[in-house]
Amino acid sequence: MYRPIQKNIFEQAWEKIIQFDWFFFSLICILICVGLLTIHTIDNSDSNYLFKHFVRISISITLFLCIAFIHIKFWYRFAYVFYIGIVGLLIYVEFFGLSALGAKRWINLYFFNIQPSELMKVGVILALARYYQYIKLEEIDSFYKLIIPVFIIFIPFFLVSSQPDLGTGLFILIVCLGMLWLAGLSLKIFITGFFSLLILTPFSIAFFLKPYQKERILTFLNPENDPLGSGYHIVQSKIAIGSGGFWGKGFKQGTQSNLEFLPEKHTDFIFTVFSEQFGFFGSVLLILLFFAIILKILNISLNSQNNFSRLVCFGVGFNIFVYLAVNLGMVTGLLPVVGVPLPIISYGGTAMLTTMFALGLVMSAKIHKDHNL
Amino acid sequence: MEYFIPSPKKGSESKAKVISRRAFALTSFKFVFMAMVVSRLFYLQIIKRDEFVIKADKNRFRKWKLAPSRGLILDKNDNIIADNFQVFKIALIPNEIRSIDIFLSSFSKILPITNNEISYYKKKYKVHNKNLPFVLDKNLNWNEFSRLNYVIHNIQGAQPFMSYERTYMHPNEFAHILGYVSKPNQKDLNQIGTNYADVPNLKIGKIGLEKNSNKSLLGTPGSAIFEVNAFGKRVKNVEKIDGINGSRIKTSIDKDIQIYAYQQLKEKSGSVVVMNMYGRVLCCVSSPSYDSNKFTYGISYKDYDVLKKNEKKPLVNKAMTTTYPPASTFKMIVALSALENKIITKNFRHTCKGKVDLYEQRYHCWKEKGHGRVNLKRAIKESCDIYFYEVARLLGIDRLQKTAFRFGLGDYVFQDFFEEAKGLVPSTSWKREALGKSWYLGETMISGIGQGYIKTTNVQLCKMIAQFANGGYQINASFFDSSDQALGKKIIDDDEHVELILESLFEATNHPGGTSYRSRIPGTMKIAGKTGTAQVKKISESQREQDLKNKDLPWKFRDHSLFTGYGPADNPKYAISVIIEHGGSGSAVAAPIARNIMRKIFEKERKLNNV
Repeated sequence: MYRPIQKNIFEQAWEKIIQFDWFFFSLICILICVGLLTIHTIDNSDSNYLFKHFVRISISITLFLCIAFIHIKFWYRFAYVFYIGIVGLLIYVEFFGLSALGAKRWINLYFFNIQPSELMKVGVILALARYYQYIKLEEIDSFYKLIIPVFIIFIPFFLVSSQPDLGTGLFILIVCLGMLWLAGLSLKIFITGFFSLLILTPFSIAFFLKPYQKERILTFLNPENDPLGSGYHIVQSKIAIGSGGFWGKGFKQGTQSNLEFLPEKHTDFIFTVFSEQFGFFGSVLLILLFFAIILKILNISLNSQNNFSRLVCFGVGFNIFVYLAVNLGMVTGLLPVVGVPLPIISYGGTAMLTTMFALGLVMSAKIHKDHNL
Repeated sequence: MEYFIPSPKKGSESKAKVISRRAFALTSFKFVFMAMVVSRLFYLQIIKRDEFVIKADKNRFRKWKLAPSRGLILDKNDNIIADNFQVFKIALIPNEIRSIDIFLSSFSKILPITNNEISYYKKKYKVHNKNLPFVLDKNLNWNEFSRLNYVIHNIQGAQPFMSYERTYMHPNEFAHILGYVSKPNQKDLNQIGTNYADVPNLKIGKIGLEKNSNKSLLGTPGSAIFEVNAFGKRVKNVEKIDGINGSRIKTSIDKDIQIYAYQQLKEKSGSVVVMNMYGRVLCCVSSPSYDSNKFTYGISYKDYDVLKKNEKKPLVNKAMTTTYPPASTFKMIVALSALENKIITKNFRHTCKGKVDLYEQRYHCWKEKGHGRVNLKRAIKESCDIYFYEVARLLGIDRLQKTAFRFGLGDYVFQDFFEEAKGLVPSTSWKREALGKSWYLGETMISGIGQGYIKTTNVQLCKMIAQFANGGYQINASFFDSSDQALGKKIIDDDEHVELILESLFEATNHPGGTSYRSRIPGTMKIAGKTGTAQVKKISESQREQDLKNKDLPWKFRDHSLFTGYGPADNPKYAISVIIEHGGSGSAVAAPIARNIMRKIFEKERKLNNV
């Protein structure tokens, strides 16, 4: 029998540093710099966003590095614990959370407000990856093997939706569906699910959606109907992006963003700010940069030796893609306004931490790709 | 996309392979979606770019029109009679405020405004056109304005600006002739053009010369373009285009004479018009008057009500709008018409017995005992009614109308003067058309002494006497001082006729027995003229027997007092016409006022000649 040679801690550390993917890390760093630059252009002395953003970036990168060097085996072992812990936090939020804008979403940690629903996005990825690690392909479609994933998915979904934060709830649902698809669930189940959803949708819109959510959907369908009301965001965003043209208005020359016409410009509409200044050219470059990251994640996952790492990497990649797609779709008027930040670039604490945490898991998978669980 | 990838046969493939295969399917889906986003960006940023650039500019640029300074109005000696002063004001832009209440409450923190003012602004704002800036009727001084400018960006939608307000140097004396300015209504805006539509604090002429010459007085508005942020705060100025100030207007009015004439009319209800021989108006006063400065900011209902309810109608321009029977002043037209139509010769005589019965009606002369046998000259001089009844009877109304028309009666004297009345000179065809009745001969007779249907304005009478005094040449009356003063075509057939009438008028004022002998001016510069006493109410036979005196009647039934004349008699330069409403006889009331004014004019001219 083959027994691995025990290596001392320095050898182990050196091995990890060699395995560290500098290309992936520099892609992330470039995106972070783009975010810093964009926030700088709309920063003024009153808001001081740039400094706060910088602090968050420092914390996030530290977290990223810590996660990256922790053995992937650790995350495999503690996946359920992590998941249950976050479910606990969600329940805690339900009772003791900070409310803002009519929703209880935050836990006050004195120096920092944490949003458990954001962390949940990583939680479900880990839990599902853990669950599907040893499920045999033949058993995947069986009814009994579906019971646990359904609980894993719908407990956080209902907890988050009742905050109320249907947007994040749906987000979690979509990421989970992506995970199930990757895990190899048969197409039949998806199709059955899709049609039953189609039938349920009108009922859920009638009974489940809050009036403001219905209004958002209506506004999405025709934003120009009500340019000063809820359609204002989309209209102003389209004006900003469109008026940028091919080369953009130039660094710090964005009139729409500098003159406060853009709402939520440092968070959800940061792409608009970027696009107004750097135009079609810059926007496409930015999208390509994101795609490079997504492809790199794909590459890492394909090179992983175990299914857990693979599923986690795919899940993270899919998560980032959904963020990106929904955000870009929203600011360009392709999708309704749902408060979704642009990953890595937007100003915002928990989202940044979660994304970097997730990317840290990917890096960890890369570093430990040759290890068994 | 993923539907085309067959699901793995159970057990045939390793799990890792399934995961990889599905991951590729998902990645291709990602590519498709991103391609959609990129094409959307292409659509927005390249195809629709120009459209969005315009929209972005519309967001950030605000155009602010600058009201031009209204043209000054000068009198003939270059004295300013209508001036402008600079004011500092605040406007609010309806699109940029949330509500008028919030605006006013935040505004009152910077500048104290009373509750009365607040409710007044709210009331006005309700009916205000929300596309135009709403100007607060509050003039600020420079200190307030500069302080406001410093903190104004805290108030959304407030716009401080500098503007001009009209002010009249002699608001009462010139009220009717200059008119006043006020905020334009929708109809006014349609008239002056869209260029003026959103000019804040724009005032336009509503009446008088201000309305008559509004186009040239108004000027062209300038504009300033500046960049604002989403809250309407001004970020920087982009462009400023200066407007063109209204051009100044030099009138032919003599400020001193106008003021003097106004003083002469004090407490009376009436008007005075003075023209030179070319029709340039020297003075045009109507009394009682009002303060035209009050109208600039919108007169209060209370003040307006007082003016409106006044029996003597201060708002009406009595020189142009009110029509009166010309009474005996019309006799010169009757005489001229009869002479020209060869109905009578200058030696035609008729006997006046104080009354005459014709067509089952009794006609009286003002002199109960009668004038005896009079010729034309004496008939004019002593204003014998019986003589002119006879002349009119022989002449007929239609021929009389033609002569009256030639002298400008029954027609507008000025061009485009909104409030001027046309008056009326009747004829048989007019009566048939307007009233549907045939003409009675008795009506011809009372037309012979300027009573009945005939109605003239004071300016018409002044133009008439000026055309007599200048020797029978047509003139175009005007308020504007221009160098090309010329007489028009001759409107009489024979100079001799006019000379005869002028001689009669001279005698009427300067020979004993003449109707206005008491109002003569001795010395080298004499005046000549004809009095008139216009009956307002028909005197019944019973009243005549009671010998009811005019002053015993209620004010509004008393006779109008008229005088039209010219001077200096030997070399006519000025024509004057005075009408005092319900003043009594022409010789007692109107003639002395005319004399005083003419004397003042002569004095002024003498002084000018000596210097």
